[in-house]
Amino acid sequence: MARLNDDAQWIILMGFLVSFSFFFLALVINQSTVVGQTTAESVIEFPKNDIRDIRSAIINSAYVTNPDIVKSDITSITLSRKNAIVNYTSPYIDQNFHPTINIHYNNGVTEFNENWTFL
Amino acid sequence: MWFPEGVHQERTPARGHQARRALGRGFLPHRSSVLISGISRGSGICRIPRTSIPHSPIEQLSGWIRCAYPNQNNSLPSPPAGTGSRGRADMTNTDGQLYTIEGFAAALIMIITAYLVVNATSIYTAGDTHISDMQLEALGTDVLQVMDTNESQLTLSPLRTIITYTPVGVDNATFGSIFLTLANRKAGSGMDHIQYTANYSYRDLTSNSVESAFIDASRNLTLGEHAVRATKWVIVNKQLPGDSTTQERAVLVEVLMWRD
Repeated sequence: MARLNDDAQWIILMGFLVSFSFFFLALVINQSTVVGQTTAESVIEFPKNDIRDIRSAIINSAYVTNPDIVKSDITSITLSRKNAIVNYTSPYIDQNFHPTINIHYNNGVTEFNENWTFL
Repeated sequence: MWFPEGVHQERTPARGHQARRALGRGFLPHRSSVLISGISRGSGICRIPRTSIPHSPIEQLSGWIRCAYPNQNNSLPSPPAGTGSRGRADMTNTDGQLYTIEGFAAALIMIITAYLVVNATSIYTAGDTHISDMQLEALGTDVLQVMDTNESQLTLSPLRTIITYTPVGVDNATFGSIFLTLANRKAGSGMDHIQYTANYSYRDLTSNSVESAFIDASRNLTLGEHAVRATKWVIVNKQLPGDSTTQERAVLVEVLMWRD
């Protein structure tokens, strides 16, 4: 058997380097197409409008004649149509003699709690 | 090709122990040519007595055996300057390998750079598609917000009026005209081409299940749309299915919107 020829080791080494750098470059390019997707998704999933909307509905529900029915409406429809758990208290008088509603919202990702007070 | 003076030569295929075995048989059988003073003096099979070949230069030649007639000094001539460190002829010189590699690397870098520069402005990633979705959803939420704004304390908002006075499940074209006007209006005279289908969800008090009631749609859903959903809570004074009387109920208006 012939002795191992060690010529051109540089070419093989550089071939390895170039191929590995191509691999990582392809990896970077591959990932760059999904950059911003999770950002945009998290923005689109953040329920800012949902919270503002349900907050206003809850506050308005303090003025209806039968708040318990509206409360059941809000909690059950939120659960089935918006995939969020909502609960809130009926208006009560807090220690500073202000009527108060405690609002709780949780859609599994975003949690929102508020003590809303009539001043 | 360089041939040393007085040496006939070159490049036997025998290498390593194969060459040594050939040497052990006392000769190197291979085709050679004889050059003296740079002029070919003929060629043929080279048979060299083992003893006439100095051992050490063969070892130094690392692979390639040099089949040489001893010259007058009974020693192998040293290669002249300019033939490379391994003493080979210039054609197989390995001196420039690094420069060649460097050239290739530079070419690759330049090509990749040009590629990235040319493509930088035209890459439309998956994340970019969500930007228009977000804008459409914000637009729909705003439209519903506007539709649920009443002009005074004495009047109901348009959205509440539609839901309160339209029987459950009956198409109401007023919703569509208001919604499309608000959603499709653009600066200038052109109109956008947003389509929608709207309904609202209510809770059936008898079965305690959440039901859906149709309001209006500009197109039928074909399930091929890339639609976003905008929702709005509305408290209406209405007798819903399952109710025994008219009372204030919370319903969720849901609008699917898309551009076609």
